[in-house]
Amino acid sequence: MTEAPPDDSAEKSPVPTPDLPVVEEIQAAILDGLLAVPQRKAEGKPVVWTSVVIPQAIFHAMGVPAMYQELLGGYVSIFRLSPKYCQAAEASGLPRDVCAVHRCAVGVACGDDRDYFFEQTFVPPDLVVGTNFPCISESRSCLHVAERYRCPVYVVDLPANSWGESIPEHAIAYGAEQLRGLVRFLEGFGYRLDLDRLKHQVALTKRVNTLMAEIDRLKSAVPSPMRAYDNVIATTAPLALPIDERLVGYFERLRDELADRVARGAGVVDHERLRLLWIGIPPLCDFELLNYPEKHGAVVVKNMLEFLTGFTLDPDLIDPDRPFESLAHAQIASPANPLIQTTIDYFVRAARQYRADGVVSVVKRTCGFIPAMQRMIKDAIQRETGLPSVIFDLDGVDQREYDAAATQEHLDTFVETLLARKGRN
Amino acid sequence: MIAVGIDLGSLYAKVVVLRDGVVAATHVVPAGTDERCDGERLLREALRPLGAAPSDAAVVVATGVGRSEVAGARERVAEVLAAARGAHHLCPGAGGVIDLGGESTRAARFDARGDVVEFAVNDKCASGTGVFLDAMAKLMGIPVEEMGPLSLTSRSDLIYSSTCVVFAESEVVSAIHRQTPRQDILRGIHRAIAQRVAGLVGRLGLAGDCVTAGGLARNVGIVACLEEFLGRKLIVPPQPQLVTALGAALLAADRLAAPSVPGTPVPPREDS
Amino acid sequence: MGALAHLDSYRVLRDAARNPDAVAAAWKARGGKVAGYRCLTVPEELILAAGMLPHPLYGTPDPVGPADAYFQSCTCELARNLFDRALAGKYAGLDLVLFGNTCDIVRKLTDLWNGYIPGARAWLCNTPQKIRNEASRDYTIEELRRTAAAIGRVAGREPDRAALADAIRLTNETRRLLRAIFELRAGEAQRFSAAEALDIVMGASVLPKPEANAALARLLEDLARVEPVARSGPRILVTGSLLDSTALLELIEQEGGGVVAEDLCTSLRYFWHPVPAADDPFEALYRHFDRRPVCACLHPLDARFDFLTELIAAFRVEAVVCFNLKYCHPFLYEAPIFQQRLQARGLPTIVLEVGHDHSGLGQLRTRLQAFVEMLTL
Repeated sequence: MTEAPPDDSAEKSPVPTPDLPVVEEIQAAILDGLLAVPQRKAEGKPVVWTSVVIPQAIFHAMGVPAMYQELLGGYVSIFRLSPKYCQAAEASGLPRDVCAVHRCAVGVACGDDRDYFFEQTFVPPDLVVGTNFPCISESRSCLHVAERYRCPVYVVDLPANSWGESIPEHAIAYGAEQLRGLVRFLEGFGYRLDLDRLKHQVALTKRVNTLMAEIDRLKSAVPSPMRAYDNVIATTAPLALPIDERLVGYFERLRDELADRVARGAGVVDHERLRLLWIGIPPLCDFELLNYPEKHGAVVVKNMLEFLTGFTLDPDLIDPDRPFESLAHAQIASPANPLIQTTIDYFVRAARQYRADGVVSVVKRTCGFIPAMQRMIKDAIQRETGLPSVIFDLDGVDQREYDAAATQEHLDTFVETLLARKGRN
Repeated sequence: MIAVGIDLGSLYAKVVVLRDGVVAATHVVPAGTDERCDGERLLREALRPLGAAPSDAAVVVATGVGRSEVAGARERVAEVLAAARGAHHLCPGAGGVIDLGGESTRAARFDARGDVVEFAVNDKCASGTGVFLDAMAKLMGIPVEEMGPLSLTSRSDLIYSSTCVVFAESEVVSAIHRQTPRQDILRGIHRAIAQRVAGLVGRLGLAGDCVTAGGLARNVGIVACLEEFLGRKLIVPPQPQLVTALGAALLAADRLAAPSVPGTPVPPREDS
Repeated sequence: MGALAHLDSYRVLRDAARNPDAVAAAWKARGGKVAGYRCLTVPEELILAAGMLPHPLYGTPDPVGPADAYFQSCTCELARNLFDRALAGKYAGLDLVLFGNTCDIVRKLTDLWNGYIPGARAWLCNTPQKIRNEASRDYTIEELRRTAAAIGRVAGREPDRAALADAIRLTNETRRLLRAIFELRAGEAQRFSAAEALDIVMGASVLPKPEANAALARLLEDLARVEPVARSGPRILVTGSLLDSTALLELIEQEGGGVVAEDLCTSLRYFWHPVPAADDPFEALYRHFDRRPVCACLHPLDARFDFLTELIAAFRVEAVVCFNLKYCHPFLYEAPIFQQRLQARGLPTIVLEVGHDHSGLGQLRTRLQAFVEMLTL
């Protein structure tokens, strides 16, 4: 084990500082939470390598310590270590053309040289759980980790939503069965499901999602009371933290802090001129870029990560008394799940609710599914609301592919075009 | 009243001078390697034929990739806005502009006033830029300016990979070794570039007349292939590389005419 | 090396493979309806039982054109090529298009087809992404029934039990004949090339099943009279997503490799597993779906690998060529794992990237030369 690195706090940390006090606490808690898993392994608990997209209520209810590939991969990029870990993943066989988040994660798991933070947060897993939601990488990259550590694998197979708003019973039943199958898989490693505890976790999931819906309404106020970076961190909280009263408390405080700002008419920029929707993966290695448009008086008021990671669910669909069925139902109905109509509906509603002026739609070269839907979303939003979109390359996860100057140029240009039209109209 | 537009690209600096709304002078020089572009020097050289001095310029608007480095510009605007303004001025009935630059390609749809409605930029995978053409010119040992005319002498259907530059280069090397006629290889290269650009244009749903801008628009081979893929004629101004600078100059003239137009331009970027 | 061009039975199949559009057009001209499909998880039997012609969507090696306006360029070229063809009206005659619940891009094709192809009707056959999975039985059967109903609405007649049973018999006969033909390649001597093999299976998938079966039966008889040639070169299996042109296979054989089997959607995976017997045809189709590892999108990975090793044994394979169409994510994830496993078992394996428009083939020649030379040392 390497020593802790020398104190270099004089240097600017790559992790941006949130604006809202509660979000700053959340960010610190997320980082602390990642450190907890190795201790559980040391206690003899089998550890799972898995995805944030899988309903975490199940892991929490069964006391399963989990390493989340998207979080580890994400922090690789945030800490600006993606070149090293992507190269490690590529050296282990993963092609450079697959998702950069997953390459970062596999680089942590399968590389031989981990930095201090990842030494403290990663341990060889004993089991692997993947899912096919919302994309192929979620069920495939973990196979490389399973192969390396000879782990048994379970994949939660969630049906694509080919039915629209009304999800049929047979799909819900199958999704629920997949989650029950996960429980049985975990029970094979000595974990036991306490159904009451699961129901409690699901009740808390519902509570958190209800709070998030309230927060969503507050966030849509003009001027925007929440910075884009804060928004992403807050949305990450339920994925990275235990679903408990502390998490509920964070969201209650967030709601209250935003309500206060809204009541005072306090916005995050002095003179808000534009409101933007964001589609695609933001540059994790330059995470504060989400706030960059603020220099022009433009705020990114809604972004895709709010639903892409699967936790943000319709609280009306969540029923603690039917935990498996309702979690499956809520995920199948999520805008992250194909087919496209629910995604389009989400963004059209958001465009109206948030009184957006334009849509920034970024293309990560190694993403396998978003680039095939950006045109459809652009056209639908244009048709339904008249809002223009700009689509451009932005791979800010694998830093080797990141072009900060070009990204800023495209954002500047888009903002200028929107302002020019707004000024004329 | 003198209004000046400066388009500082990666390879060339272009200047257009308007006097009382009419183009009075133009100036094109290599962009140079100075970290900060000497806007004063550019203005001096551009205005010299008119017997005017930089202090005579009422408004200077800078655009292009190096616009933040143009010292002395009162305002800096995005290239696509300037290109659209210039294209609209040259062709009031047009609905779009395709800017074929050295390192990037962009297209914009604009409305009847010349305001950009939507724009698109080339993606990284693309081989739709002048830099790609330069690389191919070196590979084939042909001067860049000869490539377009030579490509027109071929009627071949060859087209190289328009998705991956690496693949395209490898295919060209293979073709050279196979002794494929040069003009056919060139046509394949030009078609690849044009295909990329056509995809970009397609994403905007550009209908109506399109004006071409940028240095690559002087390549007759590219224009011909692009017209083939788009299924319509393009409007190629006499000096397409000046369209964006012209647009910047027109925006400068607009500022002279209405200095307090609402929706004021973006503040200059902070000097780094 | 091609040996079959003189055989009418082969030419019928080859011509269909090289011009599938003509086969569909001829069916339409006779007053029939055609259902296009992409991905093997869509059961042809449902289409046949409704009296429609199943028309697998194969691409062409043309560079991507107008489809670029609908996809970013970092997406599967096959999907973009198919969409190009749809935009150009090449599929205007299709009465319905069915897509399998496989990769992210194919699922998006369903949306894109419905959104931008005038008059199109695209349907997602929403089967699971797991096999060897009894838990999916009821769900899968229900989705197959829904798909059958969707086909029935277009065909004007919903497939009934008897029609489904007949369709299964037909397709199983196709599979039986193809397997018998392909198993000839397990021997020492060679009667036809890999390129001809691809033509045979693609042609059989395109032709109306009775015609396909008749041609295959004649071909099997004819092959008994074809003088086999001693095989030279290492016995190679090609694995990957799909090849809808013979270029890569020809390249491997030109460089001295003897391709004896192809683990592709357009080859062995199309026919290797028959539909098992069951009283209820939907039960039979469910069991067929559940045992066939036809795609890298389907979990578990081990099912794919087990199938690969089965083929390696059956065809006495000495080396493996894994290829990936650029940006084909499921197979991009799979190939390195397979390569490591196969090499651990002493099987030389190479992973290649191929453009669907044949771009990059020139580079591959050098690598293949080196690979084959290494095998023959």
